[in-house]
Amino acid sequence: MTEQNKINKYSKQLQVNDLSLSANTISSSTDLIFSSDATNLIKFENATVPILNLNSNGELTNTFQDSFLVSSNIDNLNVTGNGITFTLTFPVIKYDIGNNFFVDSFTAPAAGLYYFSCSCTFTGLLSGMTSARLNLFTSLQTYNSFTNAFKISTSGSLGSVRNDIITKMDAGDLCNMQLTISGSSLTADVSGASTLRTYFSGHRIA
Amino acid sequence: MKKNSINNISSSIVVDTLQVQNNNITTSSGTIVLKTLNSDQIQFTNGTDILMSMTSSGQFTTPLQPAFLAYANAAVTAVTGNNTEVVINFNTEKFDISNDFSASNLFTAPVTGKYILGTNVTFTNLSSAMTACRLSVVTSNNTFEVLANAYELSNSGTNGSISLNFSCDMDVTDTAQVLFRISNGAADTANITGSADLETYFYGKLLS
Repeated sequence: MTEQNKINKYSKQLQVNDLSLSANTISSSTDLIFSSDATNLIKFENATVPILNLNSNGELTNTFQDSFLVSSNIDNLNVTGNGITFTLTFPVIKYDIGNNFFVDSFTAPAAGLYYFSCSCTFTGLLSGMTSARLNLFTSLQTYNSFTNAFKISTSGSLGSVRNDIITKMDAGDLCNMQLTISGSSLTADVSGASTLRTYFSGHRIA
Repeated sequence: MKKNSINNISSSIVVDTLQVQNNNITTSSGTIVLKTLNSDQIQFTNGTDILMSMTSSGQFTTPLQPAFLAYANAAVTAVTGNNTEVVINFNTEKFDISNDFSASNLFTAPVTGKYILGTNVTFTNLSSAMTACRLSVVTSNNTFEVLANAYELSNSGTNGSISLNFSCDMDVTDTAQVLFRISNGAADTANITGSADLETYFYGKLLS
């Protein structure tokens, strides 16, 4: 028969039914359940800093999870159009939790799975600029999205191309966005505005 | 330092470096480990509601985490084409955990955090003059937009789609809504399509 509800000074263990407290470990031989009733929170903190909050509605927030949203509020003129690849620039940092975004690239702070979404709006196109590639570059893998740049714009003015992924990254891996428009001269522009038409967002999801 | 003690004065239990006091479980050093064996789960509950669960296989679920998917199941006709911007209605909900999607077109953030939002809008009945369109998601903090030649996205004026998604910050009670316009046509004769197959839809989830 299993002994229960005991304090064992030799094993440095307190056992209450199936729940065992020892050293830094809380364990159970069956389902381990933490419960808070009514409107109370279950919190995880580092000293007094909240790391993870789980409220009674089941809304889970972890304020310091690595994430970012950046955009361009200016036009970058004559940066592609003849096959030259332009690495997109983002002078506006909407937020950068973890401070992982630097010089237009995101650096993974830890190995894991990340979600990225990017959109690039271009303008100043000539009719020969029929090929556009938005390359979402990561250290492990490149993700391409293609379109006919001139055709999806309005007579050469304002067209967008997008790319979204969930990808695996190792700590220190980079991610940035590169646009290549081909077929004519170096006269195509990347459009920026106060609205987010050229933006890059990311979030560590696991 | 006293170890393995129950102190009825401070209402605390100390096991090595693990301390249980009042409503707090803390450690003075090392990592707190929650452990279960075999096929058992680690669960966080409110009464009988499971808020968060981790299976022995490492599958981590939060069944009440706010999330929604709504779509249009019928077309709305002659609403844009001559630069009229419309709020897209998604009159059918596939799911709406915690009931944050309302009035067929508005998501309201239940808590401050980071969210993923995405939408796809399908349109039809375009004239060849309808050479511009703009799909936007307007949140309280930012407006996200994509622009394109609407007619060229379609098949000679029939059935074209445009999409947009991103992660963003929202404060509690901030809202998000989808707007769309087609321009350069002579009149507002273009339709937004809807179907039981999801071709005009809007989704979102609290990420963190």
